[in-house]
Amino acid sequence: MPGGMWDANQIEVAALLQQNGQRVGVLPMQYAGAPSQFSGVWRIEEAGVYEATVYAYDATNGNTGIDRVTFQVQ
Amino acid sequence: MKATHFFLGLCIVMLGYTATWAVPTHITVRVKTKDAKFLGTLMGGASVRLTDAQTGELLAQGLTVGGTGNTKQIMQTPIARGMPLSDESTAKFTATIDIEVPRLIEVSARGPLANQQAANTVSATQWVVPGKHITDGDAWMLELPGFAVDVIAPSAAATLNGGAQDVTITANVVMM
Repeated sequence: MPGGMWDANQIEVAALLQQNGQRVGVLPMQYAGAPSQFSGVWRIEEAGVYEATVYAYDATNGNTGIDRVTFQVQ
Repeated sequence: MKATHFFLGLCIVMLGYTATWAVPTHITVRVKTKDAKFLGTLMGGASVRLTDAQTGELLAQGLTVGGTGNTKQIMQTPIARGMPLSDESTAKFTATIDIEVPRLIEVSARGPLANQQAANTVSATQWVVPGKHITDGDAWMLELPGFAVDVIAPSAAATLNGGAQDVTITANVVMM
């Protein structure tokens, strides 16, 4: 959480977005109010298969991690 | 018959020779996660392998088991030379290998096993001399990089009906 031992403000969290396999943007994610949780809102305009690759990155030491999710809008 | 006896005797002598010179050598491995604590039971531990770096021979394998360590000691107390970060309850894997000559040992650790998509591997080599244990202080400590990131919304392979819409992406991010 912000200001905690592992300061949420120090960690950059964002989602790399793809639509039907094509990169369409980067969504910054903010601290979501509960410990360790980050969120962002992605405005989707049309049907398709989407993928979000969420990364966490600490620029002060290079520490990095990711996870992915895919979903469909119809 | 005599030849058989001679062969058996030779085997016994050779076994005795080996037993005389192989020295049990204890090696303790700890895996500390980058900017955080030790990888142990709470996150499934790390899978540890000890091999001969020159021949590839597998000498021992297992999991780090135990606690994440003393938070104050690891995260708040300024690091001082000779002061270990770990204590007796801190997660570790200990093996005893029987070696006759100095061996260049490679240790590799992969984890966290309970969070496979976040798992990384780290390794190192060092010489180990028969009977010269690596058990005191933090012993053989590896640093494992990474965050454990889990997307918790939307759920995997979800189908969202209704066309154009706002989709909230939420992830849980924790140190390993």
